[in-house]
Amino acid sequence: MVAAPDSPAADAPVVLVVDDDDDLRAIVEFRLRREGLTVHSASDGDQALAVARDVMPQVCVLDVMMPKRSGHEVLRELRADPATRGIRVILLTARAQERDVNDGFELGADDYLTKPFSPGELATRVRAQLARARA
Amino acid sequence: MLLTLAIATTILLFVLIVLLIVALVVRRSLDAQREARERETYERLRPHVVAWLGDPDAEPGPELVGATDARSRDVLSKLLSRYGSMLRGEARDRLIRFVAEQGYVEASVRDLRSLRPWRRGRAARALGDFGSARAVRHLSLLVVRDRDRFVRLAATRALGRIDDYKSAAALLMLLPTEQVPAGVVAQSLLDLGIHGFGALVSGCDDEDDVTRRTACRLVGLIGAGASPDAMRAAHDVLRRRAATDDDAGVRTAALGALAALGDTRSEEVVRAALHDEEPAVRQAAAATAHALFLREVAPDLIEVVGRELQLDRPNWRLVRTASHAWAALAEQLDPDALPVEAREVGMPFLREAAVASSRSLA
Repeated sequence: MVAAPDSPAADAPVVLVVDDDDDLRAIVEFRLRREGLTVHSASDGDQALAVARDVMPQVCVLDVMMPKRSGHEVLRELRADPATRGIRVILLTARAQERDVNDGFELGADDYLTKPFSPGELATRVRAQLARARA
Repeated sequence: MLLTLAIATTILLFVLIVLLIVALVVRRSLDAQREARERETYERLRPHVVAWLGDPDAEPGPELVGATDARSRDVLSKLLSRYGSMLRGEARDRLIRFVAEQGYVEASVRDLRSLRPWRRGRAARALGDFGSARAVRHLSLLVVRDRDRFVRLAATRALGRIDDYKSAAALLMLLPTEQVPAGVVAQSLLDLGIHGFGALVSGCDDEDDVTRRTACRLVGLIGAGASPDAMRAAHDVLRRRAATDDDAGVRTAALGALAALGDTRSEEVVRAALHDEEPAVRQAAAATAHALFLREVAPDLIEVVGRELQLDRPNWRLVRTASHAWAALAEQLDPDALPVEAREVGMPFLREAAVASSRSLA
């Protein structure tokens, strides 16, 4: 068996990873757990909203192109709900979809990262958003 | 006799149909079993790949290094290709080293010679995901010679994933052949980004018009992250192309790139281009003057507007672009600068341009 990263502390920051690609989700989850964060995941927009309302993450790493509900729709819903409005959102988008990034910022995204991505850079950006959430 | 023959034929047909159905069912069942085994291997290996690539301090475990049976290697190759396509940075660098050391690059290069197009296409994609500079030569041949269009497309995209000067050079050489649509080649060059910048700067001097046009455009799109020396070389070649190229498309692309790269020393080139014989070049020059805030060329801009408005069929795009640039750059917005016979037609444009620049006409 592969050694799982150490279990996060009880008060570890909570991050939600949303992507319909199992392979991508697996490595993002692993990398963030390695940073000592509590990670939840969802594979589509509907599930993302349900989990977000349930676990109230500080940061959400959100894919844009997803089945059922796009990342933009999820973001709009998160911002419309007073309970989830404060969740920091990092969009994960394909490089060619620059327009998606602009639309995302207009909808209230806090940061974005393009695919292909660097797991190290993603972890750094999540940390930066967590610091801003605490400030 | 005839009846017996008919019955025998019917029975034979029936038996053949039953055999065919059985063969299909068996084949389907075998395929399903193979897919299930592959899926199982994939799920078994993935956590090891994730634990290795997700941890910058980790080494590949024995499950990855020791994968020797054909199925494990085939599945691991697919897994590594998947992660190679979605990752960059140090994780991808480690993956690139691993696939080269463990023979996965060699195996994919061998597959490029397969008789089956799907296998050649898959191998080409994997080589791009593996980012191996060794594969550039093989992919360069494939994009020109393969008889299957989809294999050529896969190889073109793969070259855009191999961060090497030679990839960009190979892609540029592909443009005149028309073996792959120019847009796909350009996208691959964009994917290479700054890694292909040197080759693109050289490509601005290529003998083929399409190559020079594409190279000039891409130098403008990619160049922002170039080193000062590379940037100077780009400015020099773009100025030369904007001033002297025989092809109007190249002159236009070069002017656009100078604007994108912020070359404020291109004033003379822009001034000359404002009087180019081609309206598209004059329009590009006006847009570049505006973008670079070249105040010194404001009198030339209003001259361009005035001359255009005296024509029977003015190029309105050019008039509009030059008016906006003039309104942004001129010290004083004096409509009397227009020739008398052009003033009536030109005033609406000058007013619009003045409003767009938040300025007033004198």
